[in-house]
Amino acid sequence: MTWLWFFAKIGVALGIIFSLGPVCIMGDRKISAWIQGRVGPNRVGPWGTFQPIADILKLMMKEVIVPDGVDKVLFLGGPLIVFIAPVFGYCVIPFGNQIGEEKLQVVNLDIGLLFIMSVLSVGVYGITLGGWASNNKFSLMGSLRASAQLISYELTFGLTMLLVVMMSASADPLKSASVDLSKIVLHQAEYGWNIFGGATWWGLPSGLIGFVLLFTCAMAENNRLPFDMAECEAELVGGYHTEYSGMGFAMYMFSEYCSMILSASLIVTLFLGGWSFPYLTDPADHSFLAGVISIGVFFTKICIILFLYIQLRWTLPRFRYDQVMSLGWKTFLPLALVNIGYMAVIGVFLEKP
Amino acid sequence: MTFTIYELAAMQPALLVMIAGLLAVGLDTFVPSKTRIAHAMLCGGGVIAAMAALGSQLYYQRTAIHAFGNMLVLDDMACFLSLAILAATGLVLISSDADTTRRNIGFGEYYGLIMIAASAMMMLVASNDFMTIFVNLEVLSLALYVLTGITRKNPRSNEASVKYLVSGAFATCFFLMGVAFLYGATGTFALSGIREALALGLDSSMARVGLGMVMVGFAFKIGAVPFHMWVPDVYEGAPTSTTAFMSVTVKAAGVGALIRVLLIAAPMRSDLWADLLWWMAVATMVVGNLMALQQTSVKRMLAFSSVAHTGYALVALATMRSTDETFVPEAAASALFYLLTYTFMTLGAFSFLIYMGHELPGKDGTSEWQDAETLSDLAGMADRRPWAAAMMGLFLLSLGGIPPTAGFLGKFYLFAGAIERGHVTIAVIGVMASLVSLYYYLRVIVWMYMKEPMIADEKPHPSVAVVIALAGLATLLIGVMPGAFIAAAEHSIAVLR
Amino acid sequence: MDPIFLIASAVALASAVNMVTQRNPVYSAVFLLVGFLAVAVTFLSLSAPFLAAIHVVVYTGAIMVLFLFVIMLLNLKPEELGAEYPIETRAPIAVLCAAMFGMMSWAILSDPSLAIPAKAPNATWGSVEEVGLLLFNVYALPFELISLLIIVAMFGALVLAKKRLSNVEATS
Repeated sequence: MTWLWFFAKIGVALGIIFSLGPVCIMGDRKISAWIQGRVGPNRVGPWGTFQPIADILKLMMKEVIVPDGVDKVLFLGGPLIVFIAPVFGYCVIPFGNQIGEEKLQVVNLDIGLLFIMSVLSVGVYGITLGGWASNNKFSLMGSLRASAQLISYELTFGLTMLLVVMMSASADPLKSASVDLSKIVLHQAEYGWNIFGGATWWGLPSGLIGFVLLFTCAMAENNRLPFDMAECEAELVGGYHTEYSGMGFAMYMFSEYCSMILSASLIVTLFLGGWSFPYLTDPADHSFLAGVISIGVFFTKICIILFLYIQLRWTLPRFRYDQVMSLGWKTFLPLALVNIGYMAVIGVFLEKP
Repeated sequence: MTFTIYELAAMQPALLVMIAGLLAVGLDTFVPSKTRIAHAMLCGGGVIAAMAALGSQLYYQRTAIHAFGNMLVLDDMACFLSLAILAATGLVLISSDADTTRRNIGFGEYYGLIMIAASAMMMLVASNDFMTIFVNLEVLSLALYVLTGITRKNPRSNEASVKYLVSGAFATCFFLMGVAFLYGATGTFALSGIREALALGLDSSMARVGLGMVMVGFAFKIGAVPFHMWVPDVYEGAPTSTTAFMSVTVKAAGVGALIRVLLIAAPMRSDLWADLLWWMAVATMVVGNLMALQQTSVKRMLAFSSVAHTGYALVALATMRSTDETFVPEAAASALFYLLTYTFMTLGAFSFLIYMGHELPGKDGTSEWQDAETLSDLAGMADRRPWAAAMMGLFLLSLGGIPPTAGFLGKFYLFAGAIERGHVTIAVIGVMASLVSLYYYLRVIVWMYMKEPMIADEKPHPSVAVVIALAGLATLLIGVMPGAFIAAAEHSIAVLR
Repeated sequence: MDPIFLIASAVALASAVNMVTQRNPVYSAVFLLVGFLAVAVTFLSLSAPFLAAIHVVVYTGAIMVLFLFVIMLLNLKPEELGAEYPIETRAPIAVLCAAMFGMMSWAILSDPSLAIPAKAPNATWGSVEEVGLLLFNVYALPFELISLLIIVAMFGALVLAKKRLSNVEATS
């Protein structure tokens, strides 16, 4: 029975990623068309809905070209690494409430938040190594930019995660601050979402700033527009995936959407209350129906965040590279530090002796 | 475990120095780049305040302060060595006025790094736990790597910095591995805890290897043979005021921490380390002196001579276990006293090299500062600068161990103690080695007094003259009336037990 | 012994050997990366999850990225790497390292204190909470001193790497 549950949970987790992935690609194109006043893909299937499947089929049929002078092992390994990372990260995301004795989370790790951080940090090697192995100046530039960007924004990312941990400790009578994601979600279901300051209204500014910081950093780490420094077509041809074709390119593109989904799930889990919603879900209700509803709530929240992601892509102008760096180091990092300092003071003052 | 604010008293002197250093860094933002009076007053004030704090600890408080769960202990030994380090720091602060203005080094960064290194050293000699020892050792090493390479345009300085960094990182690996082994054997980082665990009578091979590796780490830091390879290159490449600073303070701090480790963590296992130290001391004295013989550069010669002097200080530690198998920890007092004498004479000698600096025409019309380095730079200086040359002569005679200077008394106290404890061989080797050393010290004096000058454009820096005078005064003072200093050193070791 | 521990340490050893023997610096870095991950897994199997996570975040996430960054920025061609040291140089170093390794293994294997079983760790041993409590209570002083270390390191890097404005530029 435990094994059955285990596989079922893996199925749901992978299902969220692999079903949302193509939907995201499709949504990206449709929404961009909508924003730019175009029609968008409309040939394959009703309203062009089968377009992603056709794209994938096309990419699979194409020849995998391995250019001369590339480093074969790393060239072929790069896309794999970058693809594996977000899938691994999804192991610890709690995508629903408990059903019976089973938490709806593939693995319930004590160090969930740290696990996600480590997995995300490994992901960049796929881009870096792939770009270097291509033996192409543009690819190398792209991969260097990707790693520089990741290092710069990972600091703020980590600090904002710390903020969440502090929030889940601030008014908790049990003082059980935890980096366990399921506990963080439960805390929010009990006391209020972290975006609104967790358990106290004093935390509201902190929560709002933290949410914006985490959202932006996640965008920057995924190399999404307006932070697409690693692959910007205008300057670097295609950045780190210039030399890739067929499945190699497909994996890079698909993994970008996968890590988008992972980031969206993380944002939802950390700031938007995870699977909880007032009056819809009840943390104490462990029936099957309530579990399904909680999954639905979680799924809906991810979709909203993903929509924001895509909409921002077509709304905001791109940054210049130096602007990206100075934004990360000179604006976000101090802001995140001040934010944490504020939350620490709040936490100390609200502490019951 | 909770700590009170009063426990900060144990690190108050170091904290004062550290804060002054950090403020000096920040000061760069507020004062014009050519003004140095603010930095000098801040850092000098920090040093004097720390000295006052140590003085009040020594004369009014009197009992040792154990703080932070016995990780830091401000006892008499810590005060003694801290005062020596502070004295050296103060003198270096004055003499580095020459280097910073001549070579266009930023005042804030230079003074800041020196002060931070000094505060780390003061905490190092007060550390009673391998955790704090390690962190402080790293802070001071990092500051010194940067200070070595601070003249960025000078390739020799860069090379020295990289060499120091690489060999220092290597030494850190040894030290850390040794600490890990000791932890594996005893389950604690605290020196007293390690002693208790070793006293249980476990003949632990891990503790043995761990202690050996920790000692190798220390040997690297203080530059004892066979881990001395970096010393000449680093001392030669670094700006001379940095060389003066690190040649005296690192040795004081490193040997002080080593004494504490040996006396508190492993006193009853002196069979494990005494032989190792014996060979190390002999090798250091012999190799240091023989290599110094061959140098034509005075700076490099002083570097090798500082290696040799490390060997002399190690003699005291190596002979703590007397030949009739009794353990005499009081022997370490002679090492402390020797370090004190060494501080002033070496600092004075290096300051003289700064004092005699001259300008070299560089490329594209600019000029470059060159401290006196070779023998020919010093030739005939007795005629041109009689007082400074006389002082240099005093330092060199003191380094060679000629009465009535401090160096003589330091060596006498050291070797007499060794013979008293039955270690005649090492004492004889030591005396022979210092006889050899007289040759190269006297050679400098001969060049100063009996050759025709080869350089006529040396530009003495007035503030360095102050340092030379003060160091000379201290060398003579300790040489003429050593009683108080020896008593202080003996007292420091006595309370350590 | 725990099979996960055995596999992970075998991987760690193999990648360490590969890291040293590879000629291409990027491959060396990649093998070091694999080694770090394998070491993290051994930490996990030794019930030190916090250490494992921090190991990955700090070493693979930050330090190795910088290493790779520098290696790729230099992008040395194989012919620019310089000749290998001759065997006369390498042999004594190899012997020294082997002696070192032998001594350390002897010390660990022959230690009688290791025959005594270690303190039985409780359920939360090595967890984030326990490590945090230790860091901020027992080791509070070294922990705070580390911040001084980092300040010096950061400051030193700035001093050595910054572009110094000449006085003319600074005043204008």
